[in-house]
Amino acid sequence: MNRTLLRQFAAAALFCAAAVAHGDGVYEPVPLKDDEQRLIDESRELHGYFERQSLLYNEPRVVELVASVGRSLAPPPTDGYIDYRFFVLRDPSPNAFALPNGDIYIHTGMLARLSDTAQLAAILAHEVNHVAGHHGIVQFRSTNRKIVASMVLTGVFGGIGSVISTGLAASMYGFSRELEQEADDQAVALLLASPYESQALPEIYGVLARDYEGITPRMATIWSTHPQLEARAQRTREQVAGAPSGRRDTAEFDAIVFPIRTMTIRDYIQDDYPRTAMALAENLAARYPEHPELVQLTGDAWAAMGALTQFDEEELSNRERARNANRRVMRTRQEREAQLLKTPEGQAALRENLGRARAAYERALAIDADFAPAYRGLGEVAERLDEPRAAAAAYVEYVRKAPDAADRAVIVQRLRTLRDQLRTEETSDAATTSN
Amino acid sequence: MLQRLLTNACAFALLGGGAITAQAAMHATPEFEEGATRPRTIAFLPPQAMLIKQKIVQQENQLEESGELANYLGASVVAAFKAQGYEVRVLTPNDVGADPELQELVLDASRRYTEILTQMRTRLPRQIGKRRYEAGDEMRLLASKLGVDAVGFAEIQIFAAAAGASAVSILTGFGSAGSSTLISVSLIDGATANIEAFFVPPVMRRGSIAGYDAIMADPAARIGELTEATLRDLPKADAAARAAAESDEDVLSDVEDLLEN
Repeated sequence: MNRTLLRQFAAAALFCAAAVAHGDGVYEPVPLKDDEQRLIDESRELHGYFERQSLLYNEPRVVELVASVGRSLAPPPTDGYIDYRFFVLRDPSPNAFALPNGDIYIHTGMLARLSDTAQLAAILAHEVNHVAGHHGIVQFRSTNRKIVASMVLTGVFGGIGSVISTGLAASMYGFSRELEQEADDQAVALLLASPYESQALPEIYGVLARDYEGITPRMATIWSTHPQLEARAQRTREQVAGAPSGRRDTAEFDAIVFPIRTMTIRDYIQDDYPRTAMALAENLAARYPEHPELVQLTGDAWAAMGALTQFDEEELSNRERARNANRRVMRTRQEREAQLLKTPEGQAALRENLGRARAAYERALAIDADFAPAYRGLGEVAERLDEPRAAAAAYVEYVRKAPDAADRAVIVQRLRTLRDQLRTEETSDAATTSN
Repeated sequence: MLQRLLTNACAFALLGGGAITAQAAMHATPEFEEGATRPRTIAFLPPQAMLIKQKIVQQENQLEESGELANYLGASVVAAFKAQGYEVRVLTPNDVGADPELQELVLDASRRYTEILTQMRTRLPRQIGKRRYEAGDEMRLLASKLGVDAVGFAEIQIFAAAAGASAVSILTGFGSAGSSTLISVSLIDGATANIEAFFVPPVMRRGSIAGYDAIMADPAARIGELTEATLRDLPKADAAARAAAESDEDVLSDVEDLLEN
């Protein structure tokens, strides 16, 4: 047993040593070897896949903003296979990535979290440098060596497991620590040479470091693939210290990205990330307090919290984060809620969260009495609090005020159930009276 | 995004593994088996195909070839359901892309399906009958928009190991030593939003399932055969068993009357 463990440890150590011993990015022409053309082909195929799956976000003003900022930062391509193109992907997770052919994607979830054009420029400057430094190809060559080495090791020691790779995996999930740091360093240089505020680069690491749901364990080992976000923030903060102020274009950015922000909040609610939704919604509602849709979205986020309690991010241990993440996979939403409702804390949290949701919907109606979605929200809150009469009244109001709503059939279905409940109540009341 | 794709792939692979102990190709709720939630009309979202080629040091996801295979899967699923008397259609990516509202609903519903598919992998198949997997209002909205009783999902995964990769996997004991293909089909009811039926071939029927070379020799025919094997237990449509929906206005009037009392 000990011998096996020692062998596995030795294999792991050798593998890790191989993993960090690779070259830096190359900022001059890099001719492709035979099997590397596949990376370019895969990049093109991936774009076709995104198109076929309707995953490209095509709102012209947003697309043009991203493309114009990206183009202003991209250096001239060094190779025929590189053509810088910028796209927005319809995905609520905060991510961006660059493919070896120059295709750069930023998620709607990332755009929704940014404050201004300078932060967008910081993200794109980082990604542009992954392309300019041929990081995809450098990592591919390094990974191939690593995989061969690890296969030899696993073959000899019978131990640490197989290594699975696709050529573009690093481009999508992040490069080696050295290549990420190099992209950071080069991004600083690009930003300092641009009209944009260079302080935006350390700022975005603060944005990315938030773990509202408490499900991302923080890996702090020397072998973690990326430098920790806090460390990256600190390093880039020092690099841009003293630099002259640049453009942020906050108002223009906000106006263009506003629909993405509300869409992302809805996505987080639908995908059961209510704390994230609430943080984004409350931030937005605080900035636009007279906007009924934002107030209603805050209510939706509170309602989505259900029996969840709030917590202090800093106090959560890695173990708790890992456990939370595991629960999301192992249990359905309904099971997690039912589990929480078995405790007095969960029951109290549900009442409190639904109370806040109700207050938000009422506030939205105080701003605009005809704002139909707030009635739907009131109906949902009443239904969950087992108040069928109030729920039915709010739903009817919603359907009457928004007869063409996309979710009409869903609400009418709920009304069918409530009708049965009301009839039962009526029958029971009649029986009580006659007795 | 790709993370989600890979999660799907893992879930799919584990589902296949989980089904090894299962004897039936269909896992369904009792109401589906009795007919009460068996749909009359079904719209399948664009079928998904994943073709993974395992080489010695790389694993390649063949996205373009996958698109063609997905078309064959869609055609064979339609044929199998029509043969049992269902009104069925398959949405194409163009159908979805042409309607921004539909596009939103499809993306939302697909994310929700991915979530429950990932959860289903741990307890398949017995939990389907207990209505453990509920896809929420996203699926109800989509079914309503499409005007159908149920939304369908069909997937095919083809794992092709090159000869070298097979040899290495035999030597090391890791990876796949051969090629394999797996199809799965789900039906989610537009009213309950539950997975009412899930079809995946049991291990006893895997003997007939072809590897990559056999599939590519005649993909339409082979995928047709595999789909037929997967959907062998699909019951006939039973329009009489499913309750007819009353009009929205009738429901609203009833509720308003009750509220006035």
